[in-house]
Amino acid sequence: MGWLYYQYLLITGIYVLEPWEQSIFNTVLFTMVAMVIYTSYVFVPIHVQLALEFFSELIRGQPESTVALMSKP
Amino acid sequence: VQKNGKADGFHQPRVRGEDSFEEAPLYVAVLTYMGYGIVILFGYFRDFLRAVGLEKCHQAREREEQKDFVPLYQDFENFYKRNLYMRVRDNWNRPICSLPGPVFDVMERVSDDYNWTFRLTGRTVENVINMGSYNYLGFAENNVDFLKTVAEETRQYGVGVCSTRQELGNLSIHEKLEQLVAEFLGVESAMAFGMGFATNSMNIPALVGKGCLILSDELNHTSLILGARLSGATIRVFKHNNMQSLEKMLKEAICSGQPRTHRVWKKILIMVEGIYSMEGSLVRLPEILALKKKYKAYLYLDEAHSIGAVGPTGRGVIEHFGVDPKEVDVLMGTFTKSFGAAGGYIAGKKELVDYLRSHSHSAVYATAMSPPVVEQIIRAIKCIMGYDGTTEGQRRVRQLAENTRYFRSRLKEMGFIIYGNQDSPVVPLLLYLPGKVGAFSRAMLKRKIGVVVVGFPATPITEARARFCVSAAHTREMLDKVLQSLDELGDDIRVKFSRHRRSYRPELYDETDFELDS
Repeated sequence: MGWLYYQYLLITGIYVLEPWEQSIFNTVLFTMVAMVIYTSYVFVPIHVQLALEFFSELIRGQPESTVALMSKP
Repeated sequence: VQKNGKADGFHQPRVRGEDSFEEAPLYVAVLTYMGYGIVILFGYFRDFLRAVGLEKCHQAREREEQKDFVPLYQDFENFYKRNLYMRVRDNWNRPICSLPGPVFDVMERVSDDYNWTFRLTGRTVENVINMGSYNYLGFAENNVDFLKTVAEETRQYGVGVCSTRQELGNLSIHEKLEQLVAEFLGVESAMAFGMGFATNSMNIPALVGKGCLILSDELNHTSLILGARLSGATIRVFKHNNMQSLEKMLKEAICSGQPRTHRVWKKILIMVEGIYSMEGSLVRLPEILALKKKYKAYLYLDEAHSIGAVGPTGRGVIEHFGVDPKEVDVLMGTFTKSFGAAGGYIAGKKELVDYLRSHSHSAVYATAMSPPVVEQIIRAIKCIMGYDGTTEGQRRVRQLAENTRYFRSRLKEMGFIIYGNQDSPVVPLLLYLPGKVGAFSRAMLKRKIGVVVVGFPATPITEARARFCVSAAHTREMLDKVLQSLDELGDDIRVKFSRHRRSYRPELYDETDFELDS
């Protein structure tokens, strides 16, 4: 674990900064990553389900009019 | 008197090994830019804190009365120095307390406020292997037997000369040195100066002036650039070692002449170096000589790093390619690197050197070289030429060539990106990322190896590197220790970026597992 953290410090260039600056950067990065994970957890399944429904209706229900399709929630 | 290794001028011109400038994978470039971007953002943040007053400013700043004047410390160089260089400053200017031979002692120093101030702890780190000094032939030594003549000359002449060469400073030992240098290089005459940088910057203005054209290589040293700018001639830069670029410029210069008046150029001078110190690449001397003859230009060859270090008998890049030294118009070199002294020389035809004796700033105004330094150069040259009756000089030249080949081939095998020609003792190892530069130097010092790391502005900002200078005084064990540390450190810090296939040799074992008939 310590070696991985060392690699992270070297690659991002944080290695040269003072410890309090490193903490600031780590906090900001961690917050951003946490927000990305939360958003994807909450919204990605619903979006994927809606997309699948849309495309399956398109393939199966060809005779149906487009108006009926668009009025579906 | 035993003379060995006399260059007779015309060997078969040797095929030059190719320079390698391997490019790193794309992700390395992306990560380098990202790393610099993040640290620059933090630089702006810290500058803001200093401006607001939340943090004490350690660096010089303007006084209150000058706040409305043109700002002094806001350009990128000062910003870079304050926010990037200061953070890793402990890797440079390390105080050394012994002779800079193959091993040396470094004084330990710590910083309490992140490199703004240092204090020495009083301890020294002993027997650090020296991979940064320009000690190519190992003449930086304090062996009493070798330095006997130096001590005698100091007893005779003293140490200070107290005059310039033109006034009362032309000692007989200077005449001896110049004759010896001319004989060593195989030219008519030579002149020695006290400082290598000043040799370039003060003599080029004496050779060219307004109405002349200077074609200089992209990666020339600062002393050449300064001399060219001081002379007032027009300067055009061609791409590094690129003969098509040089030929195009020569053709265009001869066809169109001077910029506005289209008069013929008074002189065209091509300035190149023997070995480029940041890349380790060799000049393409045969092609440049062919171009020079075809277009009737003059050639200024700066052999600062290559004299004594390449060539079968140590006579520099001219001997390496088997070229006649009389074909190069101005040969320049320094005594700092392979000869373990200080100073520079210019050699060539007798008329040229006599002209420089009276018209060059360095010859007229600079103090003459100090006698012990001159004697050190004389003894080093005599050792290389064999005049002292031993083959020690030739042994050192061969040892350097062997060490160079071994070191370079092992590093390539390990998978590092190395620039330059396979025969040059200057070995740059590319690190690229800004975080790894500081980490590499500190980790090597912890393993008791002293290296020089270079970053912006001496190199392009994305190509930070560590530069090793192989020496004839390094033994095989020292090189093996360095290579082993580099292997471990390369895996630890992950700088083995090379994409060429490495040869996998099986480990050598001490015992054989079969019976030998004895």
